[in-house]
Amino acid sequence: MIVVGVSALYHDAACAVLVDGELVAAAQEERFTRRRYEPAMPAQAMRACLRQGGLTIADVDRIAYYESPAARLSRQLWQGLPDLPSAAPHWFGRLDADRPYREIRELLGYDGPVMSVTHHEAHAASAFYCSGFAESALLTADAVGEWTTTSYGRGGPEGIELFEEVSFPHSLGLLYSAVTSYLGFDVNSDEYKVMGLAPYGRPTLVGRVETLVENLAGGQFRLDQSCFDFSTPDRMYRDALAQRIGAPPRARDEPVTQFHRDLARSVQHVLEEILLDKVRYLSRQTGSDNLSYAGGVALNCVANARIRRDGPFTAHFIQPAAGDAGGAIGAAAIVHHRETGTYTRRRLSDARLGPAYDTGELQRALDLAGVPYLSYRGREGDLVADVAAMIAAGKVVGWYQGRMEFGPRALGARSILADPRGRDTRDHLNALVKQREAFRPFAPAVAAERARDFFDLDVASPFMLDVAQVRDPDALPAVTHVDGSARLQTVDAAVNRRFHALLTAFGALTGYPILLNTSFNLRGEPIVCTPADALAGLVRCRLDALAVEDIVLRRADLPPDWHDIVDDVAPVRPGGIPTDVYSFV
Amino acid sequence: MTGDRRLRAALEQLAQLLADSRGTVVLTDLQHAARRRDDARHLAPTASDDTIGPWRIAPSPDGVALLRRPDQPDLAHADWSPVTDIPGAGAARRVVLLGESAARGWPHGPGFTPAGVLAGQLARAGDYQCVDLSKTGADGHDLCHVAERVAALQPDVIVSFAGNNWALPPPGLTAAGPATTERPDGLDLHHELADALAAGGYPGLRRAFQSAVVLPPARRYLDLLAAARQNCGAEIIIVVPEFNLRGWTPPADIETTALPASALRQWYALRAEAQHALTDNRPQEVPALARRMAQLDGGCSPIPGHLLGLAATRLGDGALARQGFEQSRDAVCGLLVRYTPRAVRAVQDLLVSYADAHGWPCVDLRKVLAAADLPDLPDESNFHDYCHLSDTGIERAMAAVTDAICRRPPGSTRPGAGLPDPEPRGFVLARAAAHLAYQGQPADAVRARLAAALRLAPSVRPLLADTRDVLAAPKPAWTHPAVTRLAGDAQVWPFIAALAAQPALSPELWTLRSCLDDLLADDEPERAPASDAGRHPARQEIDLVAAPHPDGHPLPNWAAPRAHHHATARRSVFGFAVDAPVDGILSIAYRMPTGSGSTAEVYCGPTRLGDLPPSPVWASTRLAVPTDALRPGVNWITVIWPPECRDPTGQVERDAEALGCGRPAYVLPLFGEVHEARLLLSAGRGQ
Ligand SMILES: [Fe+2]
Repeated sequence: MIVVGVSALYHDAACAVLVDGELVAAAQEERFTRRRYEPAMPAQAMRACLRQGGLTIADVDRIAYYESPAARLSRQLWQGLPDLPSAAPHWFGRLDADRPYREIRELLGYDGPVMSVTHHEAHAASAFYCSGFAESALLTADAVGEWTTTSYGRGGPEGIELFEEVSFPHSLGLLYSAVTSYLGFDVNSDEYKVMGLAPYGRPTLVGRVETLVENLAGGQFRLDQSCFDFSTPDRMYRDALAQRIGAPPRARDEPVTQFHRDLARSVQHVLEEILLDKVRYLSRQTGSDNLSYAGGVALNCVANARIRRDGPFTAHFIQPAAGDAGGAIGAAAIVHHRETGTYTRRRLSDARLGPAYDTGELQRALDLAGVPYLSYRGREGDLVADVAAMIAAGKVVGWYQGRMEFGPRALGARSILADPRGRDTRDHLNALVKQREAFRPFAPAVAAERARDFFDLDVASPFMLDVAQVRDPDALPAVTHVDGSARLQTVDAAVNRRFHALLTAFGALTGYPILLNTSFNLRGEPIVCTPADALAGLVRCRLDALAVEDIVLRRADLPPDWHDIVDDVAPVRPGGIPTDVYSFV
Repeated sequence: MTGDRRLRAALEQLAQLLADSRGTVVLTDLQHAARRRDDARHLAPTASDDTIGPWRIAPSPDGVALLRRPDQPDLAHADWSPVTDIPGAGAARRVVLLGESAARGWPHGPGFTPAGVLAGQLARAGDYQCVDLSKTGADGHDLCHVAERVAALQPDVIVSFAGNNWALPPPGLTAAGPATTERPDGLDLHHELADALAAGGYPGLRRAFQSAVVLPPARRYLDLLAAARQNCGAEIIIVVPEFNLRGWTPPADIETTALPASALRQWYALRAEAQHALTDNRPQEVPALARRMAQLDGGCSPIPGHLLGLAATRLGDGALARQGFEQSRDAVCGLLVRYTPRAVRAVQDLLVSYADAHGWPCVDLRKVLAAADLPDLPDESNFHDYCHLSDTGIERAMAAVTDAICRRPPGSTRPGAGLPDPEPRGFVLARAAAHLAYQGQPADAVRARLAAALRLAPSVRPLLADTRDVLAAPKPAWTHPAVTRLAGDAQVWPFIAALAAQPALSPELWTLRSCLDDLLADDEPERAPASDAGRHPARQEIDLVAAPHPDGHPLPNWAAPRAHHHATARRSVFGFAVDAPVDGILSIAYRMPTGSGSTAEVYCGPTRLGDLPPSPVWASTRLAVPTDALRPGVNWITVIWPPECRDPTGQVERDAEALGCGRPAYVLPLFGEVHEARLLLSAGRGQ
């Protein structure tokens, strides 16, 4: 049976293809439309995923949709109260529970059976069915899906069951996003900045933040609604929040002060404490040793590390596409299990689920342009040795290999790589490539079998969703955060041979089988998808070199006017969703 | 929490009741009603009264002047005349020109504009100052904005050369954005059109569009001109725009609106008959066939009028030809599909009758631009494309305006010669060729203009060769050296940048490439094909459904772009290129709206590859493509779908429902869909 999972019309639309329960492909629509967080029905991602799986639309037996449109509508209606139905929506199409079904028919072109599962079921299933656990406790936490913001459940041979939920507007995701917005950052995207800022601060405001969210017994908690307002399109909090916190909101262009750092640290602390309390509750309720975890909050890797270290579970699985994109996998897995009574129990160890492209056309283009490049076809050893040497010499390299990653992290398929030992690597990358705040840390990838030598971590972290202390922070300044931690990816030779070989080659040269690994995109742009995107990325990001599959080219060899041409011809498209407020109304 | 729980249960129940498409209609209507009820806001205030477009109105000792506003270096201002400051007129008579791109002289540069030509003519007649207030892309709202303020300039004469954009749908009805709650009238227009569609089908939609969208702003604009005359005493001259009736072919992706099964079959049979009659030189049979087609399509197809126009032209019946071509031009207006700017008959009539009623002189380009052989029709040489005038067309129009301003009998002023040098004329022709290709004009028309451009100005050859190379370049096309060469040329760069950005070529651009290949190949046989510079893999796969835009394939209606191909006409074409013919396999995943038993035919060039068996559900087929079906260069895979579409009654209902909710209507029939079409070449030399 072939089931296509779809998440869409929220943020981060995506598609996943399951063939007889086996996850064969998944991709986010943003990579194709080139609009970050693209919410539109994932028509192009579906074409690419079917293609990658050697299928056509004629083969599809079911489409599984990742939320219940009617349940979402009921929550939207509640948000409109008491002015039902005029409050909140900016345009007339917002209250439209038929839209997913209509657009699956019209935009995806699919007339067959469409089944929906609830948003948090999709999140939970995306973790459980990819966990490889025979049975597991399930935790989901995000901003909101239909009515639910947090859920607790069990997974096993019979499938998944959610036994308790926390309802909107009480939401850890929305709390974090509201503070993100209060701190003058973009919601839906800059929550990472708050997490990155936190270690620079002190938890001096914990007492005040705790008044915003009351941790209740069992699985519940409550946000103080006098401080938040999630129904207006303008902002997420009320004036009372400023009084409670003791300072006005930061404007986007204002400098970040110690107070802002302290607030970031405090909200991160409160989030972690509540999550820890809730996983202990979940452990008591389920008696399981295993935790499967998903939802946007599960992308907070600092909190994930606390759950791993200080929580009650012995084994953990966190979905690499923990946000809404991953719901496509979960929805498809549930529908497959329901329809066939079977599922495939296998731990997902490789997030490279997207399409791969060959480089023939790119090479023809380079030939015509007279741009020299080196081909390493059949000489992988030389390729990784030469790229490792370049990076060791301080170069920043675009690394484009094979199938595209699914989820928000670049994991060695569409990555920018640099020397983690360089003192100024971080500033160089921030200034030129990523154009982002200096306080945000970069992440390391490390050859899995050597991880323990350099990091205080005794489990695999294949999806960069965990943090660990760096044993010798002075040796790895570019990837070590201010608190001595790193958000690392462990790379297994059996999973990604070539990337592992590169790490190993770099280790042979430098003693450190570790590379700084950041996503291959310019600020505000989705991660690159095709070799053409990668070439534009080389030009735009001012990288020193690009390794695309078997060929390597250097920016110094490119015509100098390409920079202006790329800006004119392929400008970065504006994002697919607003970033002033959390766009769930 | 108990109260919350009760409420939530109630809302869940309510949501269940409202979860289907009817519920969406109800909720949209309720939102609309609520929006109207508590609307206390006003529309965004219009610009302050001392500005016109990019200028500020300022008094000066020599009379009112216009000074370029430094505060708005906004891109939209490129749509206006680049003149920085316009001094007071002093003792001269001030003539102000209002209008759209045709009045700006698009695409001629600032060196050759209607206002400039008019100024030259008037300089011979006396002391005049010509002020160009026309704006490229001006819609009714923009024109009213200028008309409201023009009296402040104390003009002696106001020349209005406008009306081409009035039949275009306003932003809320196109992909420019969904209907928003920001405006109190939010969905009123949508509701009016939806009701008309539900009651009168697509012909009803057209009529409602004309009365609700086209004419009201036109009347308001003319009323504002009348008020301006009252205020400042200026004389008003109305120029009635004309369309290139004989030089325009309806683009191939819009044939008719959805029709009932038997009517649709009959319509296509009549069309085939009429086309045969034309090719067999029996034009006298066409008018009756075209009339029967128009009865079937309710006047919503541009095809019967065009056939009638062609036949009547051959018969030497100018009046009938005009009737046919006008019907063809106006048929699509109001259908919420894509079409180029044009002044429709209702607009022309309104301009003439309003001018008559107010005693304003009227320069009717239908007469001024008439052809010598058939005076009922305009001479094609007067046009750059569909509504924009060529240099000689501008000269003729402005000579007539000069007559009107100077109160001379028509024909007194001799038109100027147009662009003085063949070089810029050749360049403009080349540009017209590219533009017409973009607009879906047939290869013959594109090729003819390219050939004329090369004859006039051999110096455009390198530019055309570079353009061809960009079209033929492997992706990303912006890497091609031709792009670097052209990046410095401000005149062509926007066009080339758009070409180089496309992830794949649209059928229109495959046509352009094919025409350029044909023309340039003639005398450069030694030149290797642009793609022949690298390695060629042993096998090559060509994705024929690759979209020309990151959002997908734009449709000829305003529906959202699709990632796969929608056949809104019976013929689907997919272009591709090979350096040398080889064997191939074409695999297609497709479906048809009905499974009634008719097959679709698949061709490569003229070679029939086979059939697609009827299938209302997605099906896959593989067809062999023999070597001798291919030729070096551009090739075409064509699918000819059976003349069957979805039930039009259901479609009208769905479209009315969509429109009523602020969503785009589909309008056109859907003959077939192709989700995948891949050509696997055995010894790949394609691209
Ligand atoms: Fe979610």
